[in-house]
Amino acid sequence: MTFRVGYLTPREASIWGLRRQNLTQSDIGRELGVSRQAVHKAYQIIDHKLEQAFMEAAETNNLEVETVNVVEGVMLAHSPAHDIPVVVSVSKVNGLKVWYLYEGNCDSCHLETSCRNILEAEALERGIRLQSLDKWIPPTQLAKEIFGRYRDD
Amino acid sequence: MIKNACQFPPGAVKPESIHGPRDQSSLLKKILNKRTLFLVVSLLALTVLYSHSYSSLNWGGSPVLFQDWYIVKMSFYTYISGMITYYFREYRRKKK
Repeated sequence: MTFRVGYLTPREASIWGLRRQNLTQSDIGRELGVSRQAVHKAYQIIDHKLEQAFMEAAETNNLEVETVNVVEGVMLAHSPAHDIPVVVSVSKVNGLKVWYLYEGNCDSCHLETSCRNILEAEALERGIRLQSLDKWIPPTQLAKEIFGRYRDD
Repeated sequence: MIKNACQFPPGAVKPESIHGPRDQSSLLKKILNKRTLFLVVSLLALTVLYSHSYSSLNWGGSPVLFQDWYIVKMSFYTYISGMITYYFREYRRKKK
């Protein structure tokens, strides 16, 4: 149970993952061999833990929270210091990540490969199908493709 | 309108690498692994073998590299095999 994965235990993380696949509480209960009531209780604990992790991430990074979507594991926020929108994401594979939405420059960044791997894994876990062309675009654009869909602006 | 996205805020100094310092010795260690050595030795051995047996292989007595679209065909085969290897590795990585 660490901040990195939103304080979720492996069991809670698997329930959260199944919930994100739009399975009902009964389906998840059947899948994991527990009652629907147990899944419902787990939902409450997961929501509380993820909200707590998001709030701490916002506080640490000096962000103003706009909306929190615990089902998708996404928090929309705003950075007053940089005056730009921010997306904070939680996933089983990458943990908690902060994404600043602006024109990033990947040309001179040594983390390009690792950033691309993070984003591809994120897309895979979120069920976002990347086009073959997306493999060639800079990670900064790929990040927009993945997290931009959670914002309306 | 959202532009792009980055893990670092605007103006932040990005770290060199999360996989350790990128100095000459670590780069050399990364390059000099068993697979690379095997590939280089194989390539050298095949080149030497080919150059030694060139006269017996080249019956026509003309430069084989510029006949029968040799270079084009070899480039095409190399590209195809490279793409197959890439997609196979991607498939295995995603399956994990």
